[in-house]
Amino acid sequence: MKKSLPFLAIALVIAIGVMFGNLSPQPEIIVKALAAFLAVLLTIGLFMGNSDEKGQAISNVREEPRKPAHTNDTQGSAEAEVITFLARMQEKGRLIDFLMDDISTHNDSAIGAAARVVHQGCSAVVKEHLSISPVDGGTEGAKISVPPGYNASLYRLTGNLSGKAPFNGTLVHKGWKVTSSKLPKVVSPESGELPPLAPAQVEV
Amino acid sequence: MKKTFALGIDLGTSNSAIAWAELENRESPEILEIPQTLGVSSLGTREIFPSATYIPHEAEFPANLAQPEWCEGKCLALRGQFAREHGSMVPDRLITSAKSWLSNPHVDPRSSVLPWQSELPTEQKLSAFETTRGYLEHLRQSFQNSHDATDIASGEIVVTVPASFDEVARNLTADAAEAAGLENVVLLEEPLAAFYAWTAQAGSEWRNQVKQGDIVLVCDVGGGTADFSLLLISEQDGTLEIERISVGEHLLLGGDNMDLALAYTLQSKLASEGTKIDTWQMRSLVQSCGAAKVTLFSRDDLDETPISIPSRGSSLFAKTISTKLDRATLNSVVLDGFFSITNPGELPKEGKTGLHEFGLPYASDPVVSKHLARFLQRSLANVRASVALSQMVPKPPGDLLHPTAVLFNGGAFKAEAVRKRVIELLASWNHGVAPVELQGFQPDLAVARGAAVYARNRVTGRGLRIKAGTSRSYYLGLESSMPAIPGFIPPLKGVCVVPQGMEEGTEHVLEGREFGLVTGQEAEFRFFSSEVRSGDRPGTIVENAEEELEETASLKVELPPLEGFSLGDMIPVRLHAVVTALGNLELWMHHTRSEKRWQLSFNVRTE
Repeated sequence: MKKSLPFLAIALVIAIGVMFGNLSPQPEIIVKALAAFLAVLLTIGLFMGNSDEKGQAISNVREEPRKPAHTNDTQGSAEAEVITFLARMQEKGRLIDFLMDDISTHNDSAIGAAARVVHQGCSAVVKEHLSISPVDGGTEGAKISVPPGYNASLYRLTGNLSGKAPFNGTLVHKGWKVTSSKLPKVVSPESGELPPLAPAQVEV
Repeated sequence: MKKTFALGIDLGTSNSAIAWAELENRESPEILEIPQTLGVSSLGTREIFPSATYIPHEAEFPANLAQPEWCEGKCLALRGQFAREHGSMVPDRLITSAKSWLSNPHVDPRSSVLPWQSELPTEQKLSAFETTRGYLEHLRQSFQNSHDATDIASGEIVVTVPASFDEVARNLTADAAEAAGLENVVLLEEPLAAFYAWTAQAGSEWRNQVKQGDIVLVCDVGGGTADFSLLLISEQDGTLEIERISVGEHLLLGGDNMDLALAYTLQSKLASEGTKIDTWQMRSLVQSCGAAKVTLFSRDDLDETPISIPSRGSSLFAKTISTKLDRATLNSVVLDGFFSITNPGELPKEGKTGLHEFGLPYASDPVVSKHLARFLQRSLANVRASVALSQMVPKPPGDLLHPTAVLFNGGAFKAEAVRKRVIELLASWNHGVAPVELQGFQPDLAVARGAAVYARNRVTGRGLRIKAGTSRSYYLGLESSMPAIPGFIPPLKGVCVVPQGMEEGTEHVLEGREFGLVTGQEAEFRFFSSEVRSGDRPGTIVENAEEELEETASLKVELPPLEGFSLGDMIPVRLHAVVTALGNLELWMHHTRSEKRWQLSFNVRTE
């Protein structure tokens, strides 16, 4: 069960990047960097272990009497949840196709066109399931003061850190947080195997 | 049972929603989340429930397909978002627009014919009635899912229907609700619901936006349908009163048509550049055009929006096609194509109905402006037909009634440019005098909220009530008694049995006209209606019913063998028309010399 958080975190990072990446001025460069970044993150994430309480809240939806066969399979279903979320990103925004495709053999305009598909679809999925807002409402580059008793998980202080709060500094990144979430419930596959990221499609 | 809460159900042609409100809370009603299948293994909730039903193949999905809890894995059909998305690729198994099939005069809504022209065996198909029942059941279960301690019977439930629905379609909707476990629902016309939602949202402020003598056009263009109504504002003892004075015809024309038109334009542009796209890509293009339309209309700083069309295979970089929607194309397709500034005399071209396949009667003319002109022309005819209405509404020059204010509703009006264009159009028909756009437009979910507001007002007896009554007048067909002449069929007369505007909780006896019913035999009457004859009273004769009225249904009644009469005896009866407290029309035959009575049932006319 507790394995679900890192997976979810990766899905979110990907989602947020995709959602807020500004594709208008120079899509190709940004997108290339983004894609590489995401691929790395995904790889790291796959080998990361973590434990966090929140995993429980997300996976307790399976405690339903009607699916007794799957209630004990918590590890499998936590993974199933993340995979299902990625599957939604693939279905709507072709995210897995984007990551699995060979980016080195295509020119920037082809990658830019593909990036629009990913942006349109994935941002729709993210907006459907999560409400996202900046951690800090200030403008990036402006001076801010982090007061005593600040939430250390919401602010990361870097540079020359000494003395006591308030800490005065420059807002480098405004941060993102989820203000509310409405994640889908996931039905685990019967055999205990993981759900597909995308089924093979056959036109009959 | 004492009512303890108010529930509003927007049973939409393309999307449905539910809102609920506590009785003592004057806040705007709360929209409920509706559980629905989002993917094969994921179940989520959304405020919007697409009115789509998918009938899966037995081998199509794994046995533990994600379904709402109440299904317990046994629902045969899928409803909601996944049904619509997946079904668009398997159209033979997808049912959409069931609501329009309920009011289709050519196909019996209780026969299992949907998906229309599908090759599925009949036993797997569903009727429009059953499809509608399924949606209402899903919505009821959704409510109970989030309020499991609440008895649904203690709710005042309002279900919205198009203003264009006649009594047959309304009765079918009410019956479907009952079959879905929602008893005694009250039906409300969608444009009225939009107006209730507007008054609730604007608070007491709404009274400052309208004044006595105003004629408000409720202009509702949703995904697949357009619906118009006119409301007259009058003042009685210092308070504003509102009366609905005209409703439009059922019009299958909406925002989806606009997205399709944009997609076809871009498709032919691509084709001229040598790029062909397949049907799957076309679907994606239609969706992207919808999104690009919203972006361009809401961002004045953009001149164009790029659109990428992926191919279906996994190779995203190599096979994605690029195109773009520019503002000139958008304006020429949407504004000038659907909302062009037409002359007031330009009316929609009628389709060649004789050659059409039976199916949904889609509007054959896509220009909304012309349909609006036709509606305002018919509205004027309706107002002139009654002395009372004529006194309240001054006669305008020309053939159209001119609204003085407009309340917009529906997704098509999210774009300010489209709202502006409609105001401009109405001004051009009225010597440049523009109607006021009522402020506080809520494009989504207004109808569900308004239905809940109306439900709350009904129970508490407080708040606004729009005077509406029956939107049409109704007639029984009577054979003319004329000497037989070879080669001449005497015209069928219509006798008015229900006047327009007959209010809930009232009844009429058709005086001076007795019918003879024979025991043990079924009697059948032809039944007609009109939207434009506000002056007719019960008993008014229309000389040529087939020409001047619309045939709605047939009415049937069968008298059981009766004590004191032998089989085949003629029994004298009189017709009573009742509009129940819930707003349903019932017709009864009363024995003139006893308390006995029999109800006439509506049967859909099928040709």
